[in-house]
Amino acid sequence: MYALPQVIREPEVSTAEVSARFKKVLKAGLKHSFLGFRDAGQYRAPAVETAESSLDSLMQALFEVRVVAPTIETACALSEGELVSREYCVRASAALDHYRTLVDGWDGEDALAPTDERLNAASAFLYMLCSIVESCPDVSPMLDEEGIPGLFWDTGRAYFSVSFYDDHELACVYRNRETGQKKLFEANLHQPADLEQAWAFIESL
Amino acid sequence: MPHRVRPIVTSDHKDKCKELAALGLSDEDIETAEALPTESDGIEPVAGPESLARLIEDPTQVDLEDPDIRMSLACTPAAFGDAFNKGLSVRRVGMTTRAEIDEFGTKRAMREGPRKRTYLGFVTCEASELRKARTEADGDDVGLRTLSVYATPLDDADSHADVCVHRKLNKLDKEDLKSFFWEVFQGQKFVAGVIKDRDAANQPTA
Repeated sequence: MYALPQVIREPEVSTAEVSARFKKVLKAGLKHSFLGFRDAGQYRAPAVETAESSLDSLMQALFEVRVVAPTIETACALSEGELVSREYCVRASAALDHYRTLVDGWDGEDALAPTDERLNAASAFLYMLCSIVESCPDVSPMLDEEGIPGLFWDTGRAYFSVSFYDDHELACVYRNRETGQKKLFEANLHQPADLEQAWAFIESL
Repeated sequence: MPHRVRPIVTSDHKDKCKELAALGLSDEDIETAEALPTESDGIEPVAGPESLARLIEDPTQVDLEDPDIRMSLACTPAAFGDAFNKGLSVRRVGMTTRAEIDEFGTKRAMREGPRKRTYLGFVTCEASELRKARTEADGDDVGLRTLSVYATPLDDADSHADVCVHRKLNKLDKEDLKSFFWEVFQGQKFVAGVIKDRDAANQPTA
């Protein structure tokens, strides 16, 4: 077995924190590797999932601890300014930043400000999207009066939206105006398999 | 049971739509309630073919100059959220004029002191379209009606009406309904028009 790093034995250093730092480095490498793939958009999401799984196994062996459930922090550990790597999400990212400045009453006394948790989920979704989908129509931001942030696309031919709730839960809708297809589904940022549908619909826009 | 609807929709309760949902009305009861006479002489219930206008305001503070972000708070699928709680205020186009709606919107946008609002215009759809909204159902089953439209005249606006959610909705239902509003009110077309006007205004004059 691998020698257990001393720092892990220290009770004040959480496994999650080490996991986050470790994954951050590896994720950055993985991300840049994936960006180098050409015409391989349809393979990226499974590749990321496989890499995540391998990463968890590796860390479990290294640290001899239970697998830590992925969190937004571990799944999307990224440095400041790294989030917006695609042109299509620049506007949405700027809007999410602005939403963080809103307070209750931003649109009349009943309008609730979005929580950091929901906005972090939206930012994490954008980051994952940028890592997986090379190009798509510009994404637009939205915020409702209950403080639920969301993202949506409307190409005229098709529509896709996702709203971000507590506990990293997502509600998604796809509408194809040409075929009449409508698909509603829930997803969770912790479940890469859930997100596959979202990436697929967005890539089809 | 339908007779309990009008006292709710004409109240100023912030959660009137939750009260409506608690009634658990059947589709037939909702239809009956929509057809009940109003409390104002000469104001008829909202008919299916009537066009309804939803005013669009930019709610952001004056120090925010990014027009894209302003639009993301003014007209998106999430901008019709009043229908989930206090009722979505609309104007009955057949009982007023487009000029009057614009005048009303401009005045209303200036009503609050600390925050500057900008009236951008209005989107429209037919009442019958809104009444088609239904919850998702399994297989070939038809879901329950989700939205209702009521004439709710105000002292200064006979043409006022409310669009209310009539069901307890989960996350997916809400997401579905946001996209439904976006569809029937043709939000994308409105936004494109605003952007076009903005670009034209920013063109240097010869």
